[in-house]
Amino acid sequence: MPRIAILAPTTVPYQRRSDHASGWWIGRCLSEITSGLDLRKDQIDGLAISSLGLGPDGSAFLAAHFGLSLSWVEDVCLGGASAIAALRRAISAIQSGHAETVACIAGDGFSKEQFQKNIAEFSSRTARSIYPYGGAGPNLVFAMITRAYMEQYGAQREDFGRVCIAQRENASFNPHALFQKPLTMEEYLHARPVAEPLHLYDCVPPCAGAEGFLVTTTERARALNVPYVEVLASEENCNALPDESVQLHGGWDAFRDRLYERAAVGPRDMDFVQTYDDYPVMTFQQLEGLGFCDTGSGFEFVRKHSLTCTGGGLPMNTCGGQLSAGQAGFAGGFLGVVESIRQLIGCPLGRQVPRARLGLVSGFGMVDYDRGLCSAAAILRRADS
Amino acid sequence: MQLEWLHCARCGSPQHPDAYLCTECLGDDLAPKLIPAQGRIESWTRLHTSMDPLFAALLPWTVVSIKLNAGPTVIAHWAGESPETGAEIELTTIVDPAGREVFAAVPLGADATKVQQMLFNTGTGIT
Repeated sequence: MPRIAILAPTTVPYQRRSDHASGWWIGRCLSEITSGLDLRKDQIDGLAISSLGLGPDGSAFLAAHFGLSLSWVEDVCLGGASAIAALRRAISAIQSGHAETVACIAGDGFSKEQFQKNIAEFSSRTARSIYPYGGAGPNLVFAMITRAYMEQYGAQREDFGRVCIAQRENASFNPHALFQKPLTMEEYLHARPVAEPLHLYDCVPPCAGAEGFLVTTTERARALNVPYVEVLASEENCNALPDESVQLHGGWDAFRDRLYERAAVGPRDMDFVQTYDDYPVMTFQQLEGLGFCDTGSGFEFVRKHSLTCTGGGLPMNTCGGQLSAGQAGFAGGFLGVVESIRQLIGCPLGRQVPRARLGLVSGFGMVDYDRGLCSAAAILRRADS
Repeated sequence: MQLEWLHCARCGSPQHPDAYLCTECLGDDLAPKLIPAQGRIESWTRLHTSMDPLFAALLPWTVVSIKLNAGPTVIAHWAGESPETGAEIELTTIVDPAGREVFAAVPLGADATKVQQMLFNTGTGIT
């Protein structure tokens, strides 16, 4: 089986509002990927697309828009788990001989009207049994989860604040981040309430943007003469604990042991971690579920360990994460993968994690009714090590 | 008080409020059956922003997550003073101003018949 390379981490800089459709953002990302690599677009034979607001234009329609003739197309609609899912499906396609060079791209425009519609109708259960309870979308769900986590384990608002503040420091070096100005604990604690106990800085700023990368064989990557990273292992899970009355675990616990066993490394070997930070409570659940600390102690972990790029602890969401960089629809789940590739090939948008060789990236998505259904993770390694 | 709740006729499981089929056995014969309306608060939030004009005019607005003693978990409007996790409640259904049948919870022992009036200043609260 061919060895797999991931390369060409690409970001189309985010905007708070955009009149451009999601397909435009995805196309801009494809253009950046090909021009950055000196790759003709007819050398791409696979396309995996993730988008919240694409409407009827799935991957096949986009292939026509972009003038691509492909041997493999895939629509990956798994919210914040989409990037890792797209990566896994691209790897399978290449190893099965269905494609050789796959572009994985997520992009979304942003208009207030479309955003509200997406939130109200994200799933049939959400439309009927969440949205009528105050019209708050995922803020309602994650407020419930955050309070349950605080009351169950003893986390304080300051603990969530530590995540937001550290990520803002990481974002302060990233010229693409929507929010770069340092955040103080005072500002965090006194921000306006959104859905108690969530306040302004606990909620991702929605925006327009695109993220993408290329998956191919190591042979092809070397021929292109560009740096690449390898995937040591990846896993995904859907609907892990349906009987938990308030979600205090994602699906990471379900596959953690197999993930590390397959990668032949452990959480302590990681030089950084990129969590899916739609709300800070989920970063705690990911640190716990992925074995960086015990269940219910993620908030204590961030009291003891620096999360900044150069703080000597465990650098987390090294470009600022979605909380500071912005959440461009389903591109939000791609941010961590794209930033991981950048860190491992030594060209981050912001600060470089010193001697970054191994990184873990996690995804979480598809909030249905009162919980997120999809969890995913991948361990990536610099190719020359 | 009791509530009508969808159950699977084949395996008897109480269903999620939005079930296509029985989640347990995939049976397609779901029929309402009475269950006790009591439960406990698992979590709660007070909303200060809303994308729905109906609620934007009523902020702040409190919503609770309820675990019914009979098993199911539901999200419900809260009609009471500040809620507390673990507190015992009674669940009822009301019709909101948009015409939707929705759940509302009151502290155990409170008068559940006035909930619709209390929350939305409409109707009698009995549906």
